[in-house]
Amino acid sequence: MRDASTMTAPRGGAVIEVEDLHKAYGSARVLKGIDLAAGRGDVVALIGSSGSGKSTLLRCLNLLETPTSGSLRLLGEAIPFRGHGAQRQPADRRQLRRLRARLGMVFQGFNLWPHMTLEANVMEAPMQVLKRSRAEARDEARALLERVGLDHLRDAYPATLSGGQQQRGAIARALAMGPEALLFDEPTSALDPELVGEVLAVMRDLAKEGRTMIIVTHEMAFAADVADRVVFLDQGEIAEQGPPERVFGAPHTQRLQRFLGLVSPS
Amino acid sequence: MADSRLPPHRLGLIAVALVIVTLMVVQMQWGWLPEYREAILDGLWLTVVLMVTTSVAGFLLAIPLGLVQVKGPRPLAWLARGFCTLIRGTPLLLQVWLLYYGLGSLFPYLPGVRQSWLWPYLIESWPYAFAALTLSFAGYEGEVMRGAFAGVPKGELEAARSLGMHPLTILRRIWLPRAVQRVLPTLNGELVIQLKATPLVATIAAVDTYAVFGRIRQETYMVYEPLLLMALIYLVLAGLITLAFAAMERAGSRGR
Repeated sequence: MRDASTMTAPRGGAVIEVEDLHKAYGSARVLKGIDLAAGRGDVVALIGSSGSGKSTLLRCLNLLETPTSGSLRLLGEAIPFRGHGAQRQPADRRQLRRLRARLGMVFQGFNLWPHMTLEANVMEAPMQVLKRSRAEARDEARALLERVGLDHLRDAYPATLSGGQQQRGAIARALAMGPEALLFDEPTSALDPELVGEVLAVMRDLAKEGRTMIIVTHEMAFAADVADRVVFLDQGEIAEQGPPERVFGAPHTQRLQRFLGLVSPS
Repeated sequence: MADSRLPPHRLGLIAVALVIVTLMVVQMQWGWLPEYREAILDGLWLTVVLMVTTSVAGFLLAIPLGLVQVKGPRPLAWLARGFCTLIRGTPLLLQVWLLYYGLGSLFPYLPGVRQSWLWPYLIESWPYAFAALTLSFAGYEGEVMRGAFAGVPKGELEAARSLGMHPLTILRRIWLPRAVQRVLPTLNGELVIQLKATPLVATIAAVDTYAVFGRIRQETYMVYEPLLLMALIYLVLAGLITLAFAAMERAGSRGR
């Protein structure tokens, strides 16, 4: 049921290319042959019901999960693997760290480090990974925190912040590495409804800047608004994809029609 | 302490303590004290040094012991678990004796040991006391650190990995500090227990506080006075440990 006619070729070189990606946990097959490409500046929204494999797919993209089979190119580099089945893992750890440093990730649970202030959270990776000086990292961190509207809270510890503030801080932490693409794993799913807007506003700004973003989300209105392409996953497969107007306005497949009916009965 | 309020029951307890101390001073015999002052200070010094050095060395050993049980290759994890189980499952007194009388009596027969620079130390008792107390603390804290490492939320480590951090950087900057932060409250009690384990070294002729007071009792034929003073000394040491931890937790509580 793959909808080949709407597969858009990545603009300006692929940032992320996935071919025939499979992921299984024991006998549970979570991803069953995913082909996906995102070019520079693309904003791709991954939608689908819980258990459709969209978060697993996203986590495969920076190899927090190792695909069981299939090939993966990140920022133009093929990822070599070694071993088979559950033992399969990326063969080149150094390459992996280098590529991860250029791919930011924002998590559902924020995952700020509780023993550091917000500013220290943002400074940590640039200092430890990119070997920036403390002064440089601090200036950059302050600029980023101001950008996400948290400059007044830079000395606060994560535990004292609201979920929305933590998530904006986590976005600043990811941006501090100057990433070439950003992966968002349900960034607003753990937030109280009244805090969702502030996080989406930051993400909308990033999309407008022309950042490459892959977003796993349940926020359909947001996906329709910012995404260039919406990819609908169902039972570990891409059931349908295309520009948001098409996917939301005229879904081809029954699976997507059913899903959208479930999501927004209209 | 930060809490300066003195509720009535505390005033009452303070009064009771004052009465007891006054009675101790007035009613009991303390004439032997000046004579043994030097010996007591020497014994106290050994107790404090043993407590501090074996806790530090033991904790440093406990970090890899805990880590390999969570993340290490399987043979190492088994080895570490076996060590912790062995240490925690046998009396410390037995461990002290095994090292001193067992290992200590083997050394002279090993070729070259008598000629080595180590020999002058190996015929003393404190290296065995140090080794036994260090291994014991490492065994207990290794188990505690295993739980602490495992208890750090996975997401915090994933966030570090997603930023391209090296595993050793993650350990040094995120995983270890977070694990230590989690064990701090229990470490207070463990250190007091370690303090109270030190008298066992008196059984291998190391002259710590306990050994000194044992000698005083034998030489003066007094029972209560030396024992009460010794109790007071250990109580004060335990109190100092607790105060230090209270200060540390106040300093670190911002992060939680």
